Amino acid sequence: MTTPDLNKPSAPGTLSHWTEEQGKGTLFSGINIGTETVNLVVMNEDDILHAHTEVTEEGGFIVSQRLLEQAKRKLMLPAQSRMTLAATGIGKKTVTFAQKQSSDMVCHARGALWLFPEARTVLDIGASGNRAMSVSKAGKVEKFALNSKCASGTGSFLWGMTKVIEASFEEMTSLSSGIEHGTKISNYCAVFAESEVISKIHGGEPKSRIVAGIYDAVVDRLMEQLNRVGIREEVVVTGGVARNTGLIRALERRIGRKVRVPQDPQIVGALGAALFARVNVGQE
Amino acid sequence: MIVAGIDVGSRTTCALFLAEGKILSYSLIFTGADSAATARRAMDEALSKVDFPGDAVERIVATGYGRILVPFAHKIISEISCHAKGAHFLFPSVRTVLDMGGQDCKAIRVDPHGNPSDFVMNDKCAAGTGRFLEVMAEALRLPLEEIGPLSLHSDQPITINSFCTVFAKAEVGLLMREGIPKKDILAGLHRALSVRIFSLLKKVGIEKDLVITGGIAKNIGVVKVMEEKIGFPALIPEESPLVGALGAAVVAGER
Repeated sequence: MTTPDLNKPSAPGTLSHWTEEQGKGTLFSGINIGTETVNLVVMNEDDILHAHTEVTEEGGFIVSQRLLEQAKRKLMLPAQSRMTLAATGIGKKTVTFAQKQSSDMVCHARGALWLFPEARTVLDIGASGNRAMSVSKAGKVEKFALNSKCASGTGSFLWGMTKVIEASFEEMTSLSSGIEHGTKISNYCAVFAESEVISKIHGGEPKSRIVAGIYDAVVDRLMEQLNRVGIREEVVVTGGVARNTGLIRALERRIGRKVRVPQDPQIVGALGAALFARVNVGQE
Repeated sequence: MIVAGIDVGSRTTCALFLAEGKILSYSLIFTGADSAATARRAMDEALSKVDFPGDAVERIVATGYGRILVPFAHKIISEISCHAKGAHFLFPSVRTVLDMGGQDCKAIRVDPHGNPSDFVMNDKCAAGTGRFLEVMAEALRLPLEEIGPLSLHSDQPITINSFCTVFAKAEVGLLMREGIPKKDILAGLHRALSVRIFSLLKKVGIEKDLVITGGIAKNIGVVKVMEEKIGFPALIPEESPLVGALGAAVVAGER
């Protein structure tokens, strides 16, 4: 076994040769440096081998290094092994050692299509924003609409409500199950809506109807984005908030069709970045 | 002629008696769940401070959020008209009124007779209302009445990047963890709020004199930044919480 030339990770006889001998195939990774979370995906030609999500305030440079080290240990790669890395997300420029960078939205579309080749509408619901994308079969983002300024229709809205209702996200799902029409929440603003919910609780409104109303309010906001891009099947929902089963059901009822949610809805952007890292490697 | 105005607000109710251009008495109480009962209580309390009986009051005009539920009112007038009239009674030179409470923010243009000529309101987004500062005071663990004065002690205001109250609160949390002094954070927050108030005011146009009423009038931090922005001093009535009821009473006296 020849010693890899670590100065040229893509050159013949280096990493790809190394990892093929390890039996893993050539490896690629994508890192998504978001506003609150960082996601890492490591994959080979066919599969995702490792995925990690972390909520952190650490700088992108430091946390990327740490997560990559962690990934290597888990995959039992030698510490000095390197793999082509693409960075995306708002903090992508901090990952100075990444070989490539790619736009967050394009990575998202790419990742969603890899998971669901029939995806044509992607709805990403995060902690502090939401966006809808209309994507072509080839992975091009044809239209998009986003909100990054207002907490309504985002994870923050739901998070605030868990405090007011005194229930976890899971409990909210079970509370609202079976309720078709929740109580109407007339305030658009998350802050005023929380006060409204407090009044409703004091007024004796059942929590099950209130939670259903909360989901309806979030769906109202999401529909604004979806209507701007148009809804074409399949609809894929991503972002941490997609884990809220109750919300997904409320969305499905509203749009009158089933949606697809990845097993890990938070890593889609990082997955797209890893797929981007895969492109062109091996051609040098 | 003795007339009365009642302003049933979402938080407080005010009843006020007016005769020959003078305020005879008033009451200011918290609005309970039953608006009609609150209005009655407010009237009775104001009556307890004068030596004439209730039936000596010739006309009663009601206004405010709960005005529809005042059964003994002769007339019901919008808060906008009453605020304009009330501000005009106190300051006949008023041409613009800014009224901001915990739930909304109103900008009213007033003509020389005290009638509203234009009006715009935000009651949809907490970020342009007193609620914004209430949330931040809580986040900074400071009493609401301290944040205005404290903000004026800063000579290094922090720029707050988020528009939304929820996101700004998260930003404040991060700034506090970074050890940024509260006064600098507050200066930034007061500036951010003032920007929003200013853009609301510009929608109706800002003409001198500007009268500021509502809870925000007590926040010197906001008042100072607003005065810098508009380029002249604002007029702040001592009777700020009474302005709506005063205006209603003025309308009651007009025939």
